[in-house]
Amino acid sequence: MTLKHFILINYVQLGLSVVILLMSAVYFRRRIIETKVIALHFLLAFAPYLAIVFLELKGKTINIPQNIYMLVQMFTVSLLFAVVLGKKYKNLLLSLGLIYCIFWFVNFIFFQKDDLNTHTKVFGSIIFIFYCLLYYHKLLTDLPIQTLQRMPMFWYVTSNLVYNAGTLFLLLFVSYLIEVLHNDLLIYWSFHNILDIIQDLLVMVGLWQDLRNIRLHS
Amino acid sequence: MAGPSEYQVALIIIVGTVAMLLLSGAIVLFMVIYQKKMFQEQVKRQQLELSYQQKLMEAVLESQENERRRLAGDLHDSIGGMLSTIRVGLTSISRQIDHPEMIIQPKQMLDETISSVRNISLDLMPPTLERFGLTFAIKELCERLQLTSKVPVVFHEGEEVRTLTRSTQVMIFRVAQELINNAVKHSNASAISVTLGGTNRFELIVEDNGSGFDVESVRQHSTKRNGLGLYNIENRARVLNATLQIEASKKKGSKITMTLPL
Repeated sequence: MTLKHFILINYVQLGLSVVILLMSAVYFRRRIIETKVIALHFLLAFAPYLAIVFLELKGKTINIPQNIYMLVQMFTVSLLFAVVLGKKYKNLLLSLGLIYCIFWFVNFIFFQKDDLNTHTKVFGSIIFIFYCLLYYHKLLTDLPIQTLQRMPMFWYVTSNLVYNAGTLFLLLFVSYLIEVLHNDLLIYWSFHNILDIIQDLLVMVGLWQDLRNIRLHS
Repeated sequence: MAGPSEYQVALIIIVGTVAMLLLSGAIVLFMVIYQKKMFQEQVKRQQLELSYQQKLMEAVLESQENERRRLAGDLHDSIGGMLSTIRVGLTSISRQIDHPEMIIQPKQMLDETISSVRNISLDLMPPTLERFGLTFAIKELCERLQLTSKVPVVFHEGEEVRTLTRSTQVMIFRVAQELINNAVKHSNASAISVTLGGTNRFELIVEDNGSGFDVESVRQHSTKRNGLGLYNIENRARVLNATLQIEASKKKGSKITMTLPL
């Protein structure tokens, strides 16, 4: 794995995010609320990317925008699940969000500071996996549709589950790899980015399903 | 003691990640298959419940019809018979007394009572339906309602459908009775038309040129049990496996079509 490959994967990842945004813009007004939140989630993901490019040019540390983005990500993902899970889980989502915020602040101020806050990311991944399982449980109790593959939200949640489950072990060992083994993480982080690409592809399937549903009903 | 080497860490990451990915894949697969199975089970259960409710409804309507038949028979044979005997008695008394005009008014009242009893009995179970079939029964109903309400009720006769069972005929007659009664009582129509028949499918059409009605509001009232007319009609149509098409708008009259596959 060379730096060239790593950058190429990064560009693919960025390109897919743009495609997702463009796909969500089609019939935006008629899109379901979940798709609108997904669009917001991917739109906000550009902010840390632009900040990183800017900070790199200035020669400063690039981790802080990523760390701040973790908070934003928790907000958008929680909003997405709040929309689909309904009022019943409102208190649970709020409590988990609050605990995550406290965790984020403590880790950011006292422990990992301006390093990549992997502990917070691991904690976030566990919360997201829990949200996904909660959604699946709701699907099994509500039985809203015979073919789940027709539901955009099913794909959004599946993408979230695959990404967070796949990156969990990697994130657990990132700080050990950097601090103790002084690894440059090129291979490991490329693998992380490939999982991110898989997540984007699954989200695109969901967006396509939503588009298909709109066309079917018009 | 030294910590794990890079090789060991890489191995842990690979094994852990593969395990987590497999687990998430298994969860998704389980969800897709199990949810589909559960959904099918639910549909099956709902169909079973629906069929049970239909059978229950059929039994209720059947017992209702039996009760009506019994009541109609009692009214006609017992009370009707007794009233007729009283009338004969009154006629013979009027011949024997000095002022027979005194009997005229009670006799008129008695005639009206006999006529009312006959009408109630006919409404409950018209003998024409039992003897001559659905077409004649509805034709007779139209004629009777035209006489009592003074609104022209025109009957258009299609082909006689002989494949209908006795209970189906009774059910269709009840729907027709309810629809025509509604048109006469509530529509303020100047003309009502009733069409019956069909070859591949049976059709009952009741049309009027009256004030029309708002279907949704009537349906809401029906479910609140304020007016059971439409509720009863829809229930009977459901039991018959028939479709009910209601075309009604305020001030434009209404057309209600019940179609029954043969």
